[in-house]
Amino acid sequence: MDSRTVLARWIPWAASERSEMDWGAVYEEQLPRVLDFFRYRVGSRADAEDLASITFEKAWRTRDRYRSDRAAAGTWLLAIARNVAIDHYRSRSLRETAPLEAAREIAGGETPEESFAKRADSDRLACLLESLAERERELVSLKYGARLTNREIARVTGLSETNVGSILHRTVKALRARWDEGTAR
Amino acid sequence: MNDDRFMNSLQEPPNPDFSRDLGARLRRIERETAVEGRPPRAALAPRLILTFAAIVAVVAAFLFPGVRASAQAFLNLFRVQNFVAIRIDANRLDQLSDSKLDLQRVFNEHREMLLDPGPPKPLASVAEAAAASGQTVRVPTILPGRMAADTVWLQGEARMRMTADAKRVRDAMDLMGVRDLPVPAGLDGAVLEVHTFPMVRQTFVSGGLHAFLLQSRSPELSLPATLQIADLGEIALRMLGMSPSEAHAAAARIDWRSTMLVPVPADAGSFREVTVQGQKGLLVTRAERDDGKGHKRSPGVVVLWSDGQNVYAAGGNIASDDVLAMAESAR
Repeated sequence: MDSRTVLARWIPWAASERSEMDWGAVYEEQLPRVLDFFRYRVGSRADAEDLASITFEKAWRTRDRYRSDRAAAGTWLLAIARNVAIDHYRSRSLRETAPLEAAREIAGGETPEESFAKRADSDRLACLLESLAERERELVSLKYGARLTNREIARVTGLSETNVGSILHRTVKALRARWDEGTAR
Repeated sequence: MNDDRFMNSLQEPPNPDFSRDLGARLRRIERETAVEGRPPRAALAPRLILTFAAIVAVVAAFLFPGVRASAQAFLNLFRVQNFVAIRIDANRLDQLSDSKLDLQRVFNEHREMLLDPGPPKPLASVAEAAAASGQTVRVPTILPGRMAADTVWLQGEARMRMTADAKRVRDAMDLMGVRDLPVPAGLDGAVLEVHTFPMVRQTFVSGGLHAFLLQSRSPELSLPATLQIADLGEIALRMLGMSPSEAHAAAARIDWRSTMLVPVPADAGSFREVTVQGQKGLLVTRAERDDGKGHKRSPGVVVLWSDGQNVYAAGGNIASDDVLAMAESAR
């Protein structure tokens, strides 16, 4: 271990590294991940912003209880975000597919099949995600929204890393097939 | 389009307006939760002073000469220009503050007060404090909420000379488990001199909010030129709980002639580097904590910085952004 590493551990700024408890930095770094987690999880940008707000406000009110020696700030925030998502789905019917409806509006009244190729990539992906089962969608949200590794997802969800990898591989393959199918039309 | 690009297509940066509004709400929450805590005036400021005292004591105990001092030999001069936080285990702090390890006892039989500072004195105004202390006293032009100036105090100048007792230092090192490092040769009987300058303390209040601003010319510790400061600093770091390899590496990097160590308990506080008036500073935030003895330590924030000549500390039971704004505005 070199001296720079040693100092980074004990004296963060000696190696130009920020303290793990720099909450301003935590906010700047984690907001995109949490927001994107909800973008993949619920689809609608407005809903994602609402749920991200709830997540951060909950976290900030209880941050004195955060233990940096037990979990990284990002992991802690995602644990809160997952609970917020669960509450969100409990309070709303899963059948209220607002993103899909919104996407249809964007398409100017055309049928989904006719307008699919015209939509922006994000709208198309949001529509495809609507078709996923709950578990698959959460894993995709953690992987591509929160940018977690398979190992981190396994730790968060309690699934094995192998299982996470298999499910994600299968899910992405199916989504890709449907994506290509839509593009070909 | 590859899978990653395809799957990442829903990612997008936060809307700036949303990000700014949420950030403002979080700062309000930070402020509210700080207000809900007990005022730290009774705990934080004395603790800060104690921290200064403790650090001076630690430095005095372990960063002093390996030869017998004379007036001419006082060539190493320690002045505080940088603050470096050391994250340590809370149990280590408790052990350090244990009566069995009263660092001042190392010098008890060999201490000479050359100039007694006397008790702190209340003054009528900042102008009076400036006149009494012989320094330009900075006043914050930005105060959080409806805070207003409350009191002004002056702690007098002090000079103390101490002579080390190698056996007591060895005992202290042994008590803290630092048994593999030798007591520096020539330690016994070495003399050091601590000089603290008048310190002005201003307090500000509004309802349950309290804040303060301390300023003083940097305290000085005079040491013989033959002192191997890094070697002695290594002992200090070990006393604070660093592993042997880490302490050895860190001691070689720290500028021991200008750096004050600030121990921060791992489970009770956080710290980060900040910039105050163009100078590098240290912001220490302490969360409310039960000390396990039926007492709750109040939350608070302190920012420490130096302009090379003077050292400053601003803090209170207010949000860190407010403390920084207050410190930045001190003119």
